[in-house]
Amino acid sequence: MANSKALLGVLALCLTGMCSHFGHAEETSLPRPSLYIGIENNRKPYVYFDANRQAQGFLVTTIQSACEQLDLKCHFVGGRPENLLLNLQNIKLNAVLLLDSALPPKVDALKLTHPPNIDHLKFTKPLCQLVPVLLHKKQAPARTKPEDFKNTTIGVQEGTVFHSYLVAKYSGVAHIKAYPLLESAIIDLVFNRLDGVLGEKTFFKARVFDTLLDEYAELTSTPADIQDLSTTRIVLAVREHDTDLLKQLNAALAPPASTTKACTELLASASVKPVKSNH
Amino acid sequence: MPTISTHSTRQYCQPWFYIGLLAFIVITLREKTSSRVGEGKSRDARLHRLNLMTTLLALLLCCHSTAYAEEKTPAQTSPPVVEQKSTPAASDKTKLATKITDAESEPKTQAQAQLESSMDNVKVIEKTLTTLRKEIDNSKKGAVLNRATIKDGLDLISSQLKDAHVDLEDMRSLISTQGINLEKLQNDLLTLKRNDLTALQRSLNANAADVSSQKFLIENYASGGYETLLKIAELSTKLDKLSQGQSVQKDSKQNERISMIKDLDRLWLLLAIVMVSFVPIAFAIANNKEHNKPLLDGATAQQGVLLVCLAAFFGYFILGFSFMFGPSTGGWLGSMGFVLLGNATEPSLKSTFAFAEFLLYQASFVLFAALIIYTAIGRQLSGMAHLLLALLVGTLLVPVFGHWAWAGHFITDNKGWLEAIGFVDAGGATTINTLAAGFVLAWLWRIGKHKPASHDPDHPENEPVYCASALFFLAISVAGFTAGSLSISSNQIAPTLLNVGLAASAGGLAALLHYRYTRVDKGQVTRSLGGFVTGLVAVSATASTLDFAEALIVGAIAGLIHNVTYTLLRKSILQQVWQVRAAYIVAIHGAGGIWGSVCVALFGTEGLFAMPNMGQLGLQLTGTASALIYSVGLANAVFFLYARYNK
Repeated sequence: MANSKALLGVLALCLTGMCSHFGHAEETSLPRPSLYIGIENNRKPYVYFDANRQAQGFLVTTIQSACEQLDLKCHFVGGRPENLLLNLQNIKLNAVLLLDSALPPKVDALKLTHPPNIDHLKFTKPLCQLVPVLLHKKQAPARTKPEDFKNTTIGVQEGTVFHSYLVAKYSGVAHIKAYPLLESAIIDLVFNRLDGVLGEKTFFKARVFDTLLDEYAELTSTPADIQDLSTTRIVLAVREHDTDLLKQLNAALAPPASTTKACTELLASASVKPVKSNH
Repeated sequence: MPTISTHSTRQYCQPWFYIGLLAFIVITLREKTSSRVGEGKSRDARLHRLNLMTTLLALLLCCHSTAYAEEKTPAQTSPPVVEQKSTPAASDKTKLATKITDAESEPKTQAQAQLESSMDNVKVIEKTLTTLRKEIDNSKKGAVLNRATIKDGLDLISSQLKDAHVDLEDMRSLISTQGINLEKLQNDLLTLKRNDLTALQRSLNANAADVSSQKFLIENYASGGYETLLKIAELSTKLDKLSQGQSVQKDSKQNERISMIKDLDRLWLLLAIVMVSFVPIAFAIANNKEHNKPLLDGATAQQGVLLVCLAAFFGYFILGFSFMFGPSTGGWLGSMGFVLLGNATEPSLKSTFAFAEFLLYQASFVLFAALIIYTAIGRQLSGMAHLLLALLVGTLLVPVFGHWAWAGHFITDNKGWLEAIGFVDAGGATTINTLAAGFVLAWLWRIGKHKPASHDPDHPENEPVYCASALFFLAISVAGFTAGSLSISSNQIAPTLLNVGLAASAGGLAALLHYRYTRVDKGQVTRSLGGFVTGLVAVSATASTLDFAEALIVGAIAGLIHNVTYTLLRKSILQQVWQVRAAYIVAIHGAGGIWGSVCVALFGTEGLFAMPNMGQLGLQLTGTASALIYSVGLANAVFFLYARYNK
């Protein structure tokens, strides 16, 4: 019995030693710390995952270059904005990219500010600014005021600040149709089931005007001069205690003393490189 | 009887209150009666104790029932199951259910205990009352009435006690049943929490996962659909561009072809102008025999041809073309200053042909009409009179009717009334030949009426109007008239020319054969030549639409018509010797023109010997009648002026 106990003790010592050895070996094989960033699954051209589950998009490229600058290994995790923020608060993620989602606490429609104030989170400097644009058919009459949209149907991406704005300002005169994907709204616009689609300029540039769809379907866009959405910007959200990470990201993402670029400019300047996903 | 579940505690308390009250009254009355009759003190004290005890018991039961009812009523009316179902978490549910169980079991136990106690009290009351009854029975001496009253009261108390007991039993069984139900329900809930709720939660989670995956698939499908749309747009746009490129090439080739065809059409029209320019030559040759016989003023017949041509052409250029092809006034007459004011050469004018070419071409028609009239009237007028008459023909006779029938040939939308209703005259069968013949017929008939009959050996019966050499030129001219306005791309020119030749040949041959087998004199050649020209005139209206066999028929019948008409004219209207030429001309151009116009309806329909178009026949006859009325009327008017001038 005494021998057995001695033998177990020796075995435990050996195991402890092995563990410490392997732990040290693992430490030496990971040169860069990892940063887990939550992004939406399918928001071309901003962020999306391709067929090989690799994160793509000009914002992914921008963030990736910032990560390289900070000597961090960035992993992109897909999901819905509300779930991503929950995972961020639960320390499953290090940061979350907030595009244009109208997140809780519920955004006041008359004072649409993005990003919203969320408990225990802080936001980086803006990556780029969203420009609201109304996409419509070329032969459609010019519409600028809410009364011009009487008896029309406007498509918008569900859950975005644009959606909140339309519901607040236009639901009395026009029929608002929300889509999980803005591409679905454009399909409906092409086939005359919608009178217009409200969205962000970069999306329409990349997904409509850089393709041949605008010629095929005779589409054009009109800038939507919406003061309530003038502060809408794309940012990275981090936990409020990660002040070091916030500072580093701010330094890497935004050049000092420069105005926020429009997302269309960022799209033009960014070169798309595939990034391995951990989704 | 009132029950706990449906009545208030006040109602429930009433029997016991009444019992106590009745007992109190009975004993009080007893005391008074005893005091009046002077009974013993020991009995009074006993009754007094009984009174107090009964009253206290009644009050105790009353209060107890009130308390019980107040405790029982909320437990029975509230639905505990609903409250348990709304509990959020399983652990919380369990705790809350335990609390509910404890809370519910405590008043139930208390109620049961109190009920049992009440039952004991009731039994005591019964026992006491039984004792009281015995005592009253024993003390029946001296108070009969009061004893009866007390007995009645005790019976009432007994009856009410029994009812109360029955009610209490019912209530206890009801409580028991409800308790059992409650325990069963509680057990069910606890079972649901422990087993079914877990399964339900798993099922919900699985369903939520399914919904999520389906939503993901739908989004993927939507995304794929959009990519497909982009590809469709790309392909469609490329196809459009390719198609546009091909279309541009095709348009370019088409434009070149159209331009080439237009040039060829112009060339063909110029050639047709040359062809129709043989008309004066043909008539000059035809009038060659007349050179020995001058006109009334001494001018030779050939000189007269020249004068007529000059006057007719001049008049046509100055006014005639404007009247004929100028902007129409109600379909009756063209604008007078169309040519002189330069409107005919406006680039904005959407004319089918160039002005100069078209005028030259149309001028030959007018010359043709003027020369027909000149040849028919001949030496009956002076050179100057012929010149004026040709001027009239060039400015008024042909242009006015020409506007009715042909105005749309130069500007498509500018139609005269006959053309608008559907009258067709392609090569001038009516517009030139019938019109001129009608004019000649009226004129010569009027002259013939005033001129005495004479035998003029210079006008032999069998001398042809158109000699063989003139006839060839005339055939070329008619070919130009019929085919000159056709487009070179229509592939109709050669068949039209062939039809002209066939009809002329058939006409000449038919007239020859007809005369050969009906007469024995030498007039057969003359008839043959006349039939030949009649065939030319007749076919000019329909040459481009006839089949070859139809052209032969048209020509052959024209030849026969020529012979018959000439004979009729010579026998009826134009009987004088100097009217032989006029009779031939009227037979050739008049009868031939009318037959040709009718042939448009008879043979112009698509298909070989197809059914005649009777509606069109009416229109053709309308046009022919209009031409005859107009020409005869104008001839009479002019002759009237001429006669007045001569007087």
